[in-house]
Amino acid sequence: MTNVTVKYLMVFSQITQKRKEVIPISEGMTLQDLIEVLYAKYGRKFKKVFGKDLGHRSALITINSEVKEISYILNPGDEILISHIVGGG
Amino acid sequence: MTFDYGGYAGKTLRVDLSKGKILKETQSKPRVEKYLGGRGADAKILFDELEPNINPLNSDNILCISTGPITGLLGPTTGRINVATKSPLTEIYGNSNAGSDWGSELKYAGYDNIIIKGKAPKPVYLCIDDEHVELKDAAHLWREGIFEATLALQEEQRGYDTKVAAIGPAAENGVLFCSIIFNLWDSAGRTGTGTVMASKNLKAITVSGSGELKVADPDRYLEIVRDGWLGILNDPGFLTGEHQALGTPICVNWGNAQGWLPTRNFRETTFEGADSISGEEFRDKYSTRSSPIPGGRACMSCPNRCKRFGRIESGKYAGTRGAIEFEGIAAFGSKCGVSDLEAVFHAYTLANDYGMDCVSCGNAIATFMELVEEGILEDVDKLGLKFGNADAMVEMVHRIANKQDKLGSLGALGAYKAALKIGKNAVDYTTSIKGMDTIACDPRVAKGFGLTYAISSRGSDHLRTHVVFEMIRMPPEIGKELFGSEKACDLMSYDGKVRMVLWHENLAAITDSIGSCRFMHGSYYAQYPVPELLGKLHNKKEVNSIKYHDWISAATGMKIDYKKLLDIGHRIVNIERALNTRFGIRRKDDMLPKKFSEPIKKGPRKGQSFPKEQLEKMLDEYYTNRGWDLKTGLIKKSELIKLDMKEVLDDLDKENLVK
Repeated sequence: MTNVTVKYLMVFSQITQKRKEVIPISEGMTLQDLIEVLYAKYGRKFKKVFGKDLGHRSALITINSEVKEISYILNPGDEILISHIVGGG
Repeated sequence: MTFDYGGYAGKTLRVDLSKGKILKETQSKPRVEKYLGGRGADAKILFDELEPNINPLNSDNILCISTGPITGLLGPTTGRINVATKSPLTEIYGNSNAGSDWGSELKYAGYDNIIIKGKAPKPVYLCIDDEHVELKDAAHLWREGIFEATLALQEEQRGYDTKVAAIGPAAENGVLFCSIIFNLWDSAGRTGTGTVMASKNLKAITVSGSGELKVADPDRYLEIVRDGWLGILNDPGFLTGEHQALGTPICVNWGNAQGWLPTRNFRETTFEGADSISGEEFRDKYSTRSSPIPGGRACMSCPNRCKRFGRIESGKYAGTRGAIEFEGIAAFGSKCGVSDLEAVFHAYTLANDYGMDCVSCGNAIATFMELVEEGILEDVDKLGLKFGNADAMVEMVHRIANKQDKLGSLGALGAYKAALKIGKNAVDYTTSIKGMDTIACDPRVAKGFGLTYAISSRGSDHLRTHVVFEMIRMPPEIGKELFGSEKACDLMSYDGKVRMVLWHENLAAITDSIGSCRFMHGSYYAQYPVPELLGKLHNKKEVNSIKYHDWISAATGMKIDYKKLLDIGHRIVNIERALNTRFGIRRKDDMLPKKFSEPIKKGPRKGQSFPKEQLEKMLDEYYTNRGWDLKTGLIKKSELIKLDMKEVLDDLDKENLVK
């Protein structure tokens, strides 16, 4: 068993009550699998703010600073960042 | 209604500080018909009345402060106030805008705008209390910081019911990038408007108003405003609730994730310490609900409530408290390589109390850090001036505000003028355009922002367009429909970006001229026709949106449709260009600094640049759409005629400044 680091920005850090955590992964685990793990762990509210109902403003996931497909197979040491898409400063 | 159009208070206050004279004039009907108010009206006043060749700190310079027709009314954001003058920092058109309730109060007192000329023989403040307007002695407030001056004036007047616009001691010391700060926290930060106010010996303007405003068609107005409210409340970006939770500091981690967060004076575009200075960090460690006022605060009639407050309870900077915004965090944080949020928050609050623009102040410090590291500037004051040194960064804020010693005096000039004085190739390390420092988004990554910086009428600036469209993964179909390219939605694509900038720039000119907030049409996209296009794409039956054209029409009684609205925006951009041509601005000035044509050296955006040839190509397209001469950048006569700006054409023609 090896690990990835998941970083939570914005409202995701409020729901999870943490800014980052280390999550174990198994061989062949995909990004979709990881999202299912997080849904199960953090429940309805996490799923809601993550979900598709915000359209183009739904959650954005980058892995090692790049946007990846949902079928991406996780590698040990990957840094996964979960945020909303925002703008304006 | 005392004025022909609704929404307006109907009067202009004209103040001659040299003579101590105050006149109340009827608002100019032709001016508001063509330029609405706020930024547009101020640019026209400066074009008509300002001698272009004066030193900006000469008493003949003019300071304009203006509201718009919807300022102070019910509606989705009606709290912005505009300030304009000849900038001492850039020596061209200077202009800044703040969100507050000061402008509303001015209108309730009966005035749409103030035009200030001359210089008082001794420090004064302008006291406006409904119809009673007078200049009062401010000797006891001179040298006081923003917080003390504001609170003292509120005590002298009607307490919190009196709204205060004040300048700080840095402006009095002649620091070239000082702000006018409204009601403690809301800053017209950029281009040194506060320095001009100080040069006139005008410490503050207090306003107490008890009057009312009327709209032309109340029933229609309520319908339009309801549509607008629902437009913003149903906007997908607004629904995330992120701005309400974190305010603009949300952009620290987000900008870092997208790889456009300026780091170490734009050497890099990702900062390893971003999370330590992020909005999330501020929320979790410093955000307050009880002090000094509730943790989130809104401008007049705004659902967004983006202003975040906090305090440091213990340690070196204990007692630091106030509001914080993204631009200041980046300026004192990532740009200086400082990852200590307490030091950043402290520097930010100091700059506000001194009355300095955080962006220009932080940029000057970051530039000096790089120049010292490159061996171009000597750390003569032995501050340990290098990236990451938080103590040196905080000390420089004090020194710049007080023009203390060599580095403080240099910093007070702003990065660009300081670099010119330092000589060698120091200018190559600045990011200034038309003399103004670049904000916290690297244009080598965000291409629409890059073009905006180059063409902005007040020098390097994102707010002339706020093309957040390219950052938010908008459906490609919307990019195609609005800007002719599906790739307009891609951050690093150049396709469709000129049209995207033009549309946003026209709407931004409107927003700033009516008194509404940029977030309504850029950042969020509640402005017509974006919700309609998204609704069509997602087969939604009911769609609400903010329709500026209907809103202005219902408020004022003018007949403005969407096309005419965009034409007015185009006219406002052109009056600013006309003014800038008098200040010597030509095509060569619509540029990006050398730094941005060089590739990013490391990080996820490694290799990205904004090549000069690419910018020139985009400028050709932009100029063609604006009706400007491709070679010189002067406005074409035919464009001014088309825009019903004959009086501007006649003046420029006499000066040989049109093509």
